[in-house]
Amino acid sequence: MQNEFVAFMISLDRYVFVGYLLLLIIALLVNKKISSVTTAFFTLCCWQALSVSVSQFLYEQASHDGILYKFFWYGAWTVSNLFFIWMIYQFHLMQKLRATSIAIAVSMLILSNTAIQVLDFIDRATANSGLMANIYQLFIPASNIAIIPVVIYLWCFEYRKNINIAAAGA
Amino acid sequence: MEFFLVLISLSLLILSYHFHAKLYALAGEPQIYAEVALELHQQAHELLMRKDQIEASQSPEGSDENERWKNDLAQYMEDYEQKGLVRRRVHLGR
Repeated sequence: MQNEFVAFMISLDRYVFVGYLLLLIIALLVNKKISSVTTAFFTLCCWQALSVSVSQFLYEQASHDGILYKFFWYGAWTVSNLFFIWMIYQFHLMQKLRATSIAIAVSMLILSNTAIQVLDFIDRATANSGLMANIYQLFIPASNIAIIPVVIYLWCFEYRKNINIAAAGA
Repeated sequence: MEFFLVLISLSLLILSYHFHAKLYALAGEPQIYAEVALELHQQAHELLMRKDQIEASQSPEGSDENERWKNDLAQYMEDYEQKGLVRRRVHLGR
């Protein structure tokens, strides 16, 4: 039962990418400029696209025996996550954008994924108890799906806040 | 061997947290600007108080006091403009 559920969630990954792409398109149509929201969604799309395109290759490498091959899997994800967190930050810095809660939520998602990767790798490298394996398997696809409603909620929240600010300013 | 790999991954995690914290710092209005705004507000209040006192007294040395007040007001306006420019540079976009 649990394995079926996990397999179902993992199979949702490609549809998750479509959802991110839709979010990006809607954000571009609504905002019509580079804003904190569009950069966050753009980063989300790039992140997911990279993970879809690279995971097969990494999986082949990680199926070899030896801690270095395992590190290749975990380290590659950690480095790519680090790059995307830096990318969100750098976009905000270059465009002099004020970070919205959406960008922070996306950055938080990538950061928590990194933390899970690192914890699972530490477990693999030291005790090898498999304690983190279930969390690892469940958390990453679940959080990838859960970010979509969270981001939509935060977006509505920001929109309402901006309307209130505009009304108070006028 | 494992130790170094764990060390590398932990340092990568800390580095990602560092960038996340930097992004988080871009979200709010920096504390220093809130303090500057408060200070400017207090200065404006003080200037208004002095103007009231000058108008109330109407003594012969009032004109001299008035001149000094105008200088202080000009200084205040200049400060306000400078700090406003800095603030606007930080708050560009949304």
